Amino acid sequence: MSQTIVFTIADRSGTEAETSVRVTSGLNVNHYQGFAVAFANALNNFIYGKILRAVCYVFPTLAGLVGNVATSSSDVEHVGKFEFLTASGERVKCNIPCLAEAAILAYDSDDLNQAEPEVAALIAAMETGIAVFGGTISPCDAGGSDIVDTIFAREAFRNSGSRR
Amino acid sequence: MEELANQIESQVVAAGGRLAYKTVYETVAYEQRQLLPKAIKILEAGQRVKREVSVIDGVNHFDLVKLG
Repeated sequence: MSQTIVFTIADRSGTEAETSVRVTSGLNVNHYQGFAVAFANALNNFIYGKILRAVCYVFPTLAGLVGNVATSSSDVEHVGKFEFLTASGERVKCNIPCLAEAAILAYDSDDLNQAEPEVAALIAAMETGIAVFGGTISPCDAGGSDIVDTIFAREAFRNSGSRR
Repeated sequence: MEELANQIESQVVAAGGRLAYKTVYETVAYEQRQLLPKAIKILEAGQRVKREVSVIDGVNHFDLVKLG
């Protein structure tokens, strides 16, 4: 599968537009970084606009995921809302659709059961990262500061905008 | 809370230094389960036990690991 690099370009009035290029997969981040800079240079040489940023979308394969099935109880409007605190004091929000009933603490509360193994595993992945080949990948805020604590974990219902 | 933290640490040590969180969850008394997150935070703050999420052969593992 190919990866996609998207370039955002702005004109004098500040209006933005995007152009993207697909590239071969199987390389590492440094390769895509080098390509993005070189391609941006090529764009820059014949446009009047300003290249604001480049984003590389990586598409990991999920083919090996076990039990990845949408059950009859699944509903994208039933959401697990998480809010985390980072080491720099910033807040990171994460809304997870198709919440399972087992994650809920009690029927008279909107709190999620943070002790329940599946919920605890997700929280641990967010707070301590996941150990993968070559190191640990840790979720963070926009400034790169690691998540260190969970402020709340609740269930919520959000209108998806389509008839259910 | 400290008692529960000590109990968890003992379980992890008895298991050889690594124990699945699910095993701890199923072993503690039902009324103490909601105290697990705080007890584990106490252990992490004291550098005694840490949580570890890892992937082995495509399967996720969520373990408590003894430190030091």
